[in-house]
Amino acid sequence: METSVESESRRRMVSKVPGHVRRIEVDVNWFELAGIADRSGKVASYQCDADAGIASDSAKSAPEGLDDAAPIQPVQKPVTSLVVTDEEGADQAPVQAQEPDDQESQHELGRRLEVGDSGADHTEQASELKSTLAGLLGEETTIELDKLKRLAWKGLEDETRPMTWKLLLNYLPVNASRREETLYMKRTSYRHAVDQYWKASDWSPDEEAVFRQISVDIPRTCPDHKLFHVRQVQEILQRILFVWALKHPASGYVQGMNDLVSPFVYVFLLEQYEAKAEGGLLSRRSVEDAFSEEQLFYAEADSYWCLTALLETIQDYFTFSQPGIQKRVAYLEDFVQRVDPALREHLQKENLQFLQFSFRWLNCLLMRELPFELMVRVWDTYMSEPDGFAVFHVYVCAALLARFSDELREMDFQELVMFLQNLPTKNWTRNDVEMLLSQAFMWRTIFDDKQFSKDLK
Amino acid sequence: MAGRSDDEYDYLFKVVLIGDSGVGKSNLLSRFTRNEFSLESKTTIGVEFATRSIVTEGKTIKAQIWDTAGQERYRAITSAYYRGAVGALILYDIAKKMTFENVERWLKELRDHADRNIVIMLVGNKCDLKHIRAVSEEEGTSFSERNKLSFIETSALEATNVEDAFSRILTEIYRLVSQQQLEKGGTGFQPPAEGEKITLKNPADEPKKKSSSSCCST
Repeated sequence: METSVESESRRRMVSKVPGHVRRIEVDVNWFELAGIADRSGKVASYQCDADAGIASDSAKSAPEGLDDAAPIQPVQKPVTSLVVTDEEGADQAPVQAQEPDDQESQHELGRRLEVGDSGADHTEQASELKSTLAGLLGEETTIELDKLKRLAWKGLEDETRPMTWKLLLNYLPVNASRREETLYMKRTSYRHAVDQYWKASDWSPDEEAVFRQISVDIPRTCPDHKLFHVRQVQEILQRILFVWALKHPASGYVQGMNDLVSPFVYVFLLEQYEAKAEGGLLSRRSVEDAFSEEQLFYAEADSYWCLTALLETIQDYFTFSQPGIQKRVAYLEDFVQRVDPALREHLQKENLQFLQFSFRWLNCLLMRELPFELMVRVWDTYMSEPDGFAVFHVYVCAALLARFSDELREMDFQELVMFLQNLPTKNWTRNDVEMLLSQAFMWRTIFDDKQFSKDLK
Repeated sequence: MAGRSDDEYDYLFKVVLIGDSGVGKSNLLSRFTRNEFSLESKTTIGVEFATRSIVTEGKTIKAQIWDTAGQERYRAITSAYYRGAVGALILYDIAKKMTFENVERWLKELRDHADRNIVIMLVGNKCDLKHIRAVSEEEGTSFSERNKLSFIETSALEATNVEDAFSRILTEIYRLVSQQQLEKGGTGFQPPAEGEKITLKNPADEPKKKSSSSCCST
């Protein structure tokens, strides 16, 4: 494993699509190079690799180490993204990739371009990886879940993500012969739940309150993403959250769940759109044109069940007084004390409580802190990790904090709060989050057998 | 009402924004601190924070304003933020009756968790929505008189009375604090050290000076 080829190992695909800007970047074998492709859990090898440039502090400077990379060769991906219209139904002019509008982001862009090399040799490698995953998903008998997790950990693409997420969340069975029937049963069961709860003629005052709260939040869900401005999509979110809340009275609807359902709705609508796109409907612009009612319903039902599976793993995040979150905030603070004591001490000196900034990191699983498309990528890894949302996520939070350690240690209380509630991640790329994920992976591996990590499970 | 440079101030007051979900707390705050308003702002999770300085009666007062989540579920978390607050704005939406009816509960929340001398102002927000008004100005006024609160109607969208709301509550706090400091005697008062928060002393039998007025320019 030679670090010298690291710069050549990056292959980036950028697609510019109408309606919103998506960047799809694929790091082919960054994790192999980082020594973490082999998930056997040998700490020694991680420490060795840490010396080679992916330890907490040097993670930040790793991209600069790639300055000699050849110029970026963006690979134009076929336009497969959702095209949506605003509420008036007027066509959206295609939006070009947004240019950074200030010096700082110019710098960021420059940095991204520098690291975004793609060697021609690696195109082959990339398609190999893809075909492995696609091959795996195409298995006609039983999918090996461990193998799928290993591949998905490194990040999925639009084509492979919907099915992989369903498999990883145990919504679809690994046995291919049982999938169709399972899907049918699950979707039917959701349809019944909608009839029972959503279409009920008389809601109790409590149910009305739940409906009101969700209705207030829906227009404020992912407002930066045009897809979520579409009336039909908003109704999908509303029904999913309402039905989920009524079926799970121990927690009910909690603000922030609207953020958590949105990646599913996005991914599964995209899946339905792709399914229909084969029929040549790519140019259609309105939601009615792009999807049949049935397709919208499939995306909705699948999102419901996947949200349910996700929330099941973090139930105590949302029960009364949110003990799961409080416990993790406390753990995060302890953990930062271990890996970055200077930062913890500084925050303490400034009287900043971890709860003041990291509550939202836990409650919304970082959906508010990083660009939407990158969070979808992060979730690929979460779903491939054991206890991804319940445990691994805490290490990602720690990695996020440590990433800004140098800046944070120069700030006073007010600057800290302002900075932490609006992290400068707008121009982040897939590389940035993958560094966070590898950092988190190292920490999780090293500390996982420790008692205080076990407490989180 | 221009402030001095952001880190120079005579007083630092912590103020909390509370009220039901969707009444416009975050937009009232962004209108005051950044002169911004967004119909598409995200829901507040936990607490968020912004500051702005104003000059009143020759003193620069820096307001450190904590915006809280409105949903009931978050109370256990957000009540911790009342600690050290010397002012509170309770918001309701003049177009949604229920948000006004819940003001009573928010008041109780403050009585239970905040300093007993906290200065409270009732704010009827969204007063631009005249055509669907569900709470009259008189209802707001009489509620605030009964409960000895200041009262104002605002529109964060149209920037109506937003400056006024904050400057009135900050001035009120300032007067209360400087009065206490005078009573404490000595050779005038010392401005607090940087970052130090003002807490209201406990003048058990001191009559509280509360004004009540409304002034939505309709």
